[in-house]
Formats: sequence, C-alpha cells, structure tokens
Amino acid sequence: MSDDALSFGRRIAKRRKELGFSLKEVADRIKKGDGKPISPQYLNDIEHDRRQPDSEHLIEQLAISLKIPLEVLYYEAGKLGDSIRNPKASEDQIVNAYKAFRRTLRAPGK
Amino acid sequence: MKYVADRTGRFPKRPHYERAELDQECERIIIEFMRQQCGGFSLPIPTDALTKLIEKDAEDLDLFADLTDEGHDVEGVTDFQPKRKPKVRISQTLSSHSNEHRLRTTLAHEYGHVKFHDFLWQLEAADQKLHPKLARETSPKCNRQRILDAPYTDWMEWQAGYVCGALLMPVTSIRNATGRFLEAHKLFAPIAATSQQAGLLIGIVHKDFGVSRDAARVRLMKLNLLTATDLGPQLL
Repeated sequence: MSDDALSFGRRIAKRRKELGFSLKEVADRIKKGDGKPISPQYLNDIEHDRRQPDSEHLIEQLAISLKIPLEVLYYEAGKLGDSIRNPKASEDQIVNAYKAFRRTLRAPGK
Repeated sequence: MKYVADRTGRFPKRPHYERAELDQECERIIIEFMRQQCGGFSLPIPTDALTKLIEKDAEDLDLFADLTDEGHDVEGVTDFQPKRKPKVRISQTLSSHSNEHRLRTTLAHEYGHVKFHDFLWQLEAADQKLHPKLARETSPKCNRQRILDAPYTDWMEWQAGYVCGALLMPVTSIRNATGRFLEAHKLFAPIAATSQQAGLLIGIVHKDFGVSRDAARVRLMKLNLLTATDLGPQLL
C-alpha cells in the first residue's frame, strides 16, 4: 500500500511504528489544551479511524512528535489549518486557490 | 517441532513443540527484541515492549477493541488473514481498567498465536483452501479462562498459553530466581504447590516478573519447579 492510500489514522500508526514508539509513548507526548496528555485509548481510536483529532492543536503536536509534515496531516484530516486562512480573501481568490490545490494533487506524483 | 495429526479437525496436521523448544525460542525472541528496541533486557518485561513486539510481527494491534460480539469473556482475538500478517485485538476492558497483569498475559498469549500459528493459515491460503471469511471464522478467540492454562487437548490455546508464560517469565531468569530461593531456604525442587514456601516463591515471581500470582504458579508448575504432589518436609 502506498503512502497516498493511507487514511489519517493509518498514517499516524505507520509512522509511530517506523519510529519505534509505543502507543503510550506517543500519547504521553501529545498534550491537550489544559496541558494534560491525551489518553492511549484516544490515540488508539484515532489510529483506527474511529475518531478524528478534535483540534488543530492536537494535529500540530502529532505532526511534530511523529515528524510528519503538518500539511499532510491537515490534508488527511480534511482541515485547512489556521495559518492558511485569510479573512480578507475574496471568493475568487478562494476558488482559484482550490483550483490550484486540485491541479497540483491530480498531477503525477514525484 | 514435528507435525502430528490434528484431532480437533481444524487442520490436517498440526505442529507439536516440545516445552523446551518453546522456552528456548521465547527466551531468544524477547531478549533479542529488548536488546534491539529497549536498550537491553530487563525484568519485569515492560508492557510497551510486548505491544511493540506484537506490532513488529502483526499488521495491526488494536488495544481498545470492542470484543462483546466475540463471545463470553473473550479478551483477545488474533485474526489471521490469507497472505497478510494477522491482526490482534485486545478487549478495551483490559486496557481501560488497569488490569495490568491480565493485559500483559493476554498480549503475550496473542503473540503466541501470531508467532507460532500464523504459518498454518498461510499454508492453507497457499493451497487455495482458505478465503478471508473462513480465516476470520477459524481464528482463535481467547477467553479469560484459557489465556494461561488451556487443556492440552486444545493444542492451539495450550501452546499460546505456554508461550505467554515463557515470554513473561523467560526460562533462564525464572530458573535462576527459583534457584536463589531454594538455596536461601535450603530446599530443592520441586516444592509442593500448597506449601508455605511455594507461596513465598510465587510471591517473588509475581513481583519480579510483573505477573499475577496465578500466572506465576502456572509457570512454576509447568517447569516442574512446583508440584501438585504433597512431598512432606524437604529441609536438607
């Protein structure tokens, strides 16, 4: 199975195993907004695509801990990420951005 | 290992392992794995090492699976798949409720199926005798009562149970621990399982190896370090 076919959860699980971390070791590193770590069960559910991370903060921490480009995780999670949003963007700009995004993704991969 | 007739009818033939074979192989597996992945062998074997070991040889490990539809008291399932590595599911009741000893024994038991039984399903698949649905239906579903000590007639569960003890309490380590105890108490093996000394030895194994007292007793019995026979006073 190629990387392109991985879901958000399977990508997280695959990368965690490649890095030699256990579920608990990664869960201990991912902190919620209140500074407490997420539970191994929550991470297990994410890895098995039973849940999605409920905040961009968690996605960012997963990206850092597992050394996955943040953009890849945002893409797999179906989110844009706050840094890409521009409240002043016109409708045309948004449509053109999506066209460019789609064109790039449909081009043959390198 | 040699092949013998499978009287359960599940396979035409099934593997027969001598206990010493399983002991040696499990000791080699866990020591080598911990040296490579955990910075060295130590006791008790960390639960994380067990999960990583399963993840090395299985396609997936689900530590918080809902197994309520798999049968009464089923706490672990190894799903064999034609031409793919097996998937292991552990009941969320074990992982969620701090049943650390039961979690550890179930993980080690399921690893026994992954390591020692997957090839049987792959052989069937190679002969075109197995489709995915049948593989799933015939995969072992392990209930609490049979994790440690299944009857010998259920060879697959018995072997996985033996592997469970041999991984968590590697043969050389448990023999050494028992040897030190016997020497300190001027005893010789086997000790009557109902004796006070047996209780002390079980307590040491329980603590040093991170297993339940029941798992410690079963392992010591299988290695003939404890015996069900009442031997009377044994002081040298």
